[in-house]
Amino acid sequence: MKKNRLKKYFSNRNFTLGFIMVSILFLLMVVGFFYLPADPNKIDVLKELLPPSRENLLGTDQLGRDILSRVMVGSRISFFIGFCVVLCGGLLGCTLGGAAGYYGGKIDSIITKIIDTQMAFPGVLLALMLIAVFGNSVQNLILALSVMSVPRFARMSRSGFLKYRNSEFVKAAKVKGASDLRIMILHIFPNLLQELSVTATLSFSGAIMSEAGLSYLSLGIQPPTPSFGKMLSEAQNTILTAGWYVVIPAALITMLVLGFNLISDGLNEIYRH
Amino acid sequence: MNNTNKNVLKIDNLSICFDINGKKCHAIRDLNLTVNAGELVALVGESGCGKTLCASFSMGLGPQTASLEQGKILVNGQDMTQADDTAWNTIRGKDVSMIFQEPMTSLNPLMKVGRQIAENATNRGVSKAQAKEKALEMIRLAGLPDAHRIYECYPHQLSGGQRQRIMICLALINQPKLLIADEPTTALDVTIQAQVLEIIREMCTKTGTAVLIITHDLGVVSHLCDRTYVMYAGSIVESGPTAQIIQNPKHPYTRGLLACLPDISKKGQRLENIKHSVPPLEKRPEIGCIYANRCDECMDCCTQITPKRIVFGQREIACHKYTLDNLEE
Repeated sequence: MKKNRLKKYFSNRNFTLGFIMVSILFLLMVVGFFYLPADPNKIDVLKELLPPSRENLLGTDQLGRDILSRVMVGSRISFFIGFCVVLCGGLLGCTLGGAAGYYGGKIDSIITKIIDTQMAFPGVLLALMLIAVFGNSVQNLILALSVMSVPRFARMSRSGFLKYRNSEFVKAAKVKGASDLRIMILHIFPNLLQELSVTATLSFSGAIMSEAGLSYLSLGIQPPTPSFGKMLSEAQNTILTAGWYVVIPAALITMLVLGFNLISDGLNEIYRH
Repeated sequence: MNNTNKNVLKIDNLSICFDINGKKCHAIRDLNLTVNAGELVALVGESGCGKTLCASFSMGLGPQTASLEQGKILVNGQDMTQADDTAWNTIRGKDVSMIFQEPMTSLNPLMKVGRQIAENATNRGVSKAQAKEKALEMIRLAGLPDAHRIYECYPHQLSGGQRQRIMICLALINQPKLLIADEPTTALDVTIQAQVLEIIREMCTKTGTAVLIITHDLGVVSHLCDRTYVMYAGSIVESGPTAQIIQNPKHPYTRGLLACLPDISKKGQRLENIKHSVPPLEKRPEIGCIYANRCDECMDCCTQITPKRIVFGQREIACHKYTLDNLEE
């Protein structure tokens, strides 16, 4: 039965394509934990902006650092932030949305209004504001991006809880004397996992993109820690002299974001039909 | 059991109304109903006459839009009229349980049925291993073969009849004092309706559970239940031992219902029906007999005076046609 399920997922072209893209970068990151071709932060002025060669597979940057090593380390940040944002945003969003959908009435209208207000606020601006107020650090970046992703999860889970709260099996669970919390977590939530997995992958790619954007503006990850966005902003000065340098982080961001979007599209198609 | 004479469910002068465009409309009016320990009781009536509403209120699951105007609901001797969810949760599943009409949707599609049955026991502090043992035992009692396989099944792998049996197991695992079965066989194939009813009866006799069966089918009631309540538009019109009601119906409504049943002796004839249908909530008269507009034997007083309940023997009836004197003849 398990084999069938895998087959169902991988017979979808979007999902397979996205999965391969994300897997390549994921593997690159995992390998980076055990082996790096060179020290990603070792500055060597003699090796400035070398094109790809046998020694530096993806060339070097303006300070002579090995780009491949920096990419391998930089992908950690992207995955880490994506994961944390989905976890925090998802947890908070599902809790809020779940409470709103399940209890309805006043609780629902209050939570919905808060979420709507948050949605009316431009996301990046909110993140900028949070970082400006609380300072520049990875935790604050995650906090800001999580807050941005809350509405998406909250709306999704609200509609799900709304759909199931009056269903017969929830009534049957009430008849068993199950508490509200138990019904919400054990009986309703598992039924929403499909829809939420689509939302989660979308959020993942959104978070990666926002992180790259903020780092590009020097508001996210601080040097010398490598990150895709930061590398992109460093590379733009040398765009004419060393074209490959700017292509690499840009291609990787695109690959990661596109990969997750394709997975999300694929999941959507798989669950729909 | 030491309290055999105790009522497990007593509904006393219950009135429930809905607010429709600012007007209070009674969905249930002055309803009296008792279920004694270990007894099988039927509540019979047409669609829309308030049977299910009555059952929901007996489980504390009444819709929020309905308001309780007067009366009392006593479950297992405990007054639950004003109880909140926390209070209900302590008796739901343990003392009272319920089976729904639609077995296809009343099980969680993502949880193994065995676990759903066992959950009801673990909710009450039984250990997981014991709960599983109990659940398997219940599955066997319900006449399902290969209990271990069924335990590991998801609802979509079972048929309607099997699922309804699972619901019965689920409801009875804690040996509740009262089981409310809301049209338990309506959604099932005719061929297994009788089986499922028989299982309800058998298992409840074993666990000493009293059953309130809600149905619109007098045929179901006739060979299963000890007592019957006939309900019309929110009120009980006639009640008493089932055999007496079937053989000697008094209220015109009960007679109408019985006449509607198909019978082999009526072969080739048109089936009887009762004219019109149950009036919608906002059109129900506040005084007089609610059945008057559909009654063939309607008299002048029927539309003006609300009939009182007359008690004679074990039966009760609310109709102007009868007085204590002409009933005893």
